[in-house]
Amino acid sequence: MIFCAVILAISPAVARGDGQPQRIVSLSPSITEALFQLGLADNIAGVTTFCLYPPRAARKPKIGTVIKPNVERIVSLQPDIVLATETNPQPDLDKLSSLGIRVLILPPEKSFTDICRNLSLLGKALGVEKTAESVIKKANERIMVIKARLKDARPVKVFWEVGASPLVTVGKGTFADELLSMAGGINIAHDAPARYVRYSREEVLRRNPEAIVLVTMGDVTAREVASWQKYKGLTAVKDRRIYVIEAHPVCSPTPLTFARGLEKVASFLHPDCVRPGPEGF
Amino acid sequence: MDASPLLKVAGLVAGYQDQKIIDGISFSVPNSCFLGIIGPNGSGKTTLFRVITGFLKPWEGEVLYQGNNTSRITAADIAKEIAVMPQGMESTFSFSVEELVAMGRFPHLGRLQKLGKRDRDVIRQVLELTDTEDFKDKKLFELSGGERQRVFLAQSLAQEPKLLLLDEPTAHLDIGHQIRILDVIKRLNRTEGMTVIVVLHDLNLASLYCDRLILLKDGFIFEEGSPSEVMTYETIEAVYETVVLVNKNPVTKRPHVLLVSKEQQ
Amino acid sequence: MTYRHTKVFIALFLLFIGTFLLGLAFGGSNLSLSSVVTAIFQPEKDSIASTIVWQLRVPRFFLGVLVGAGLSVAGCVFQGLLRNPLAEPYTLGISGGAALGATLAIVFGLPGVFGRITLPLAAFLGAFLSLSLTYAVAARRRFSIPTLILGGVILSFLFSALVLLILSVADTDKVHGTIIWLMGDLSATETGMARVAAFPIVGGIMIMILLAQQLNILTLGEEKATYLGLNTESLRKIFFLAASLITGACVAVSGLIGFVGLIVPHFLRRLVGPNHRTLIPASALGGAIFLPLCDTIARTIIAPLELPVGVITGIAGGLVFISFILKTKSWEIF
Repeated sequence: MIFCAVILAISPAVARGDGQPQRIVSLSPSITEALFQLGLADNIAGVTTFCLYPPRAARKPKIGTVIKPNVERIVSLQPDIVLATETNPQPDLDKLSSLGIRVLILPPEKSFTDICRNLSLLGKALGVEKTAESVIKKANERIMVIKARLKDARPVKVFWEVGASPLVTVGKGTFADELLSMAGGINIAHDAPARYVRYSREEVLRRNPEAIVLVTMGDVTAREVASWQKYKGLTAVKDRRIYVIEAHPVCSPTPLTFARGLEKVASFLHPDCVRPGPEGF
Repeated sequence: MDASPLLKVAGLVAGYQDQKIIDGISFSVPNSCFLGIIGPNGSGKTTLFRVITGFLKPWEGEVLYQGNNTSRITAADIAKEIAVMPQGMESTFSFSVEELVAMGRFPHLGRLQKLGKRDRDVIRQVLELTDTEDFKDKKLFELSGGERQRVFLAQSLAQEPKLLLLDEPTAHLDIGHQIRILDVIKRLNRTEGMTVIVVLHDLNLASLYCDRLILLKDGFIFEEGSPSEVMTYETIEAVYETVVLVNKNPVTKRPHVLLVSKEQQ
Repeated sequence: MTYRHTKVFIALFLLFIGTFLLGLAFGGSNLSLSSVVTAIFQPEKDSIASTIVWQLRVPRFFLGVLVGAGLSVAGCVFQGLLRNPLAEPYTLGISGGAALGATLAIVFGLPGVFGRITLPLAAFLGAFLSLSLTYAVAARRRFSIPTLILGGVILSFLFSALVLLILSVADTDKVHGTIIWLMGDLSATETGMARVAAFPIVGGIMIMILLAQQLNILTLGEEKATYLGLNTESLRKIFFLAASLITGACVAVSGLIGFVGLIVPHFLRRLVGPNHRTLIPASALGGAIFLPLCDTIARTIIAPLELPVGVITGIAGGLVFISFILKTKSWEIF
C-alpha cells in the first residue's frame, strides 16, 4: 500500500517530465509539419511565421521568425517544451533554458536518414513513439516502391537549379542531391565543393544535362525557363525536359514529404516507370 | 632683478627633414625684457620660435630656461611658467570665450581639474585686461579677428606666465587692434615684469614696443640690439633688399621705417 | 554648468525614467499593464508576468543602457579626437574586426567550444586585433590624427572584405546567423555577459570623464595643446584605446548597432555645447535613453516579429536629426 502511494506520488512528477507535453512551441517549419504528421496539431502553442505547411499551421499563434524568435512571446505562451534546430540563435535558446523552459534542439538534417532519425527523436520526446515509427515506416515503404520501379532505368543527367541570378545549384550532402539519385537521376553538380554553390552557366552547357529541374522562385521561374530555352543545343532543351517543382518538398522535408517529392521527380525523369502519387501538388 | 638671463639659447641649428633653416643662433634674454624677433620671410623666425618654445627639437645647440635645458623639463612644468601663442590660432569647436580662457589655467590645476577661487579670479582679471569680458559667453565664430586674438591672448595670460612667447600676434589685424593687443602685453611687461619674446612682421610695431631686437637673415642673426641700433637704413636695406628711409617718430623717439617704391625713385 | 545645462540634464533624467517605464510596460508579448504593475511590486511571485518583466525586460533595458551609453561616449570621444562631426565608434575599423571575429566563430561552428561566451569573445578578440593593428600603424607616425584615420578606415575595408569573402563561400545557414549578429541585437542577454562587458564600458566612460578637459584642450591643435602642458601623443593613445575598448565590449555583447554613436553625441553637442566635461556625461545619459527606447520600439512595433534595433536607431536618429537641422538657424557644425 505504501509502495503504491509512493508510486502515485512520484508519477505526476514523472509524467510532467517525460510524459506527453501538452503545450509545444516549434521554432522550425519542418518541425511544425512533423508535429502535424504525428497527430499533435492541437498541442501546438506557437510556431514561426514561416511555418506554412500544412496550411492549418499558418493559423497558429506566431512567435517570431526562425532566425529571430521572440523570447518574450514564447515565455508568455508557457510551453512545456520548445523544439528547435541549429538554425535558431543559440543565445535565445540558452535564455529560454535559463528560465526553466525545456528546449530540445534537433541535430542537423542533411539526408533522408537524418530526417527519419529526427522524427524518431521527436516521437520519443513527445510521447508518440509509435506514431513516429509508423510514419517513418510508411515513408520508407513508398521509397522502396519507387526504387523497385526504377531498378532497371538508366540514370538521367540532371541540372538542379535553386537560384536564377546568381545561378545556384546543389552539391552532395543536400536533400535535393539525395532525392535526385534516388529518383534515378545524376546531379551534374554532385562534385561541387559546397552544399549550395554559385554555378557557372557555361559549365552547365558543357556538362549538357538531359533534364533541368527548376525549384520555383516566384515570378522569375517563367523567365528562367525561357532563358534556358534559348540554348537550343542543350539536350534538355531539345527534348523539352525542363521541369518546375515547388521548393517545399525538397528544402526541409519531413520523411513523408520527402517521399512525395521523390515520387514527383521520379515521374519527371522516368515517366514510364513512375507516375505522381495521389497527394500530388 | 636677477642678473642671470631668464632665457638663453646657444648654438642653435635646426630645420625640417633635410632642410636646415637656422644655423648657429645664440642670444640671451634678460628678465623683464621685451624682445622682438624680426626678419624677412624665410629668415627662420618661426623656426627659431618653435625651437625656443620646445615644439621643434634643434639639431644642435640648447635652450636654457633659468639655467635649465628645456628639453629636460616636462611640458607640464614648462607650461606653468611659459605661455606660448602660436600663429594662426583657431578653434573649430564652438567653445565659449570663457571656456577657452579657462583652458589657460590647466597647467596650474590639480588632479581633479576643478577651478578654484584663485583660478576664477585670474580668469576674470585676464578677461578684463584684454577687454573681452563683455563677450565671455559668446562663441569664437561670433567674434571679429581682433576680438579673437584678444581671447587667445587672454588664454595665454591665464597661465600667469613669467615668459610670454608670441608668433605674429598682430597678423591680419587692423592698426587699432594691433595697438590694443601690444599695449596689453606691454603693460604687463612693465607692471608685472613679464618677459616677452615676440615675432613680428611689422618693423614699426617692433620698434615701438620692443626693448631689444634680433634681426634674422637666412637663418642667422644679422644684427642684435636696441631698436635704434638695429633699425638703420643700411641694415634694413641689406636684409630686406629694398630701399627704405629711416627717421625718428617724433612722439615715441623710436626709429620709424618709411617705404619707398621702386617706381618712385 | 550653466542654467541651460541644468535644464538639459533634468530633461534627460526624466526621459530616462520614462524610457525605463516604457521598457517595462511594452515588449514582444502583450502583457497587460496591470500585470506588469503587479509584477513590479511583487517580484517574488512566480508568475509569467514576473518572469517576463524581471528576467527579460529589465536585463534587456540595462543592457541597452550600458551599450547605449558606451557607444555614445565612444562616438563623442572619436568626434572630438578626430575633430570630425561624422566620426563614430566604428570609423576606425573596430566593427570590421569584431565582425570578422564573429563571422569566423559562426561559420566554423565554434559556438559551443567555450559555451555561450564563444561568440562575444571571438567578436571582442576581432575588435582587439583591429584596434592593435590601427594602433601599430598610427604609432609609427606619432599617433597623428590623419594617420589614425587612414589606418583605421583602410583596416575597416580590409576586414569587411574578408567577412564578405567568408560569407560568399559559407553555408547559407551560417550566413544567416552571421547577418543576424551583424544587425545587432539586445535580446539574448545573458546577464553574465553584460556584467563582464560592464567593466570595460563603465571603466572607459569614467576615464573619459576624468580626461574631458584634456580632450577639450587637444581640440586647440597639436601645438597649443603641447604649450598648455599636455603630452599629446600619449593622450591620443589613451583616448583611442579607451574608446576602442568600450566599442569592442559593446559590439561583443550586442553586435553592430549603428547610428547611436554618431547621432547622440552630435545632437547633444548642439544642446550643451562642445565642452566635453558636460558633453561626455550628457552623451552617456543620452545614449542610455536612445538605445533602450529604440529597442522597445523595435520589439513591439511588429510583434511578435522583432526588427533589428539598428533599423530603428537609423530611422529614428535620422528623422530627429533632420528635423533639428531644419529648425536651427545657425550653421555651425561643431
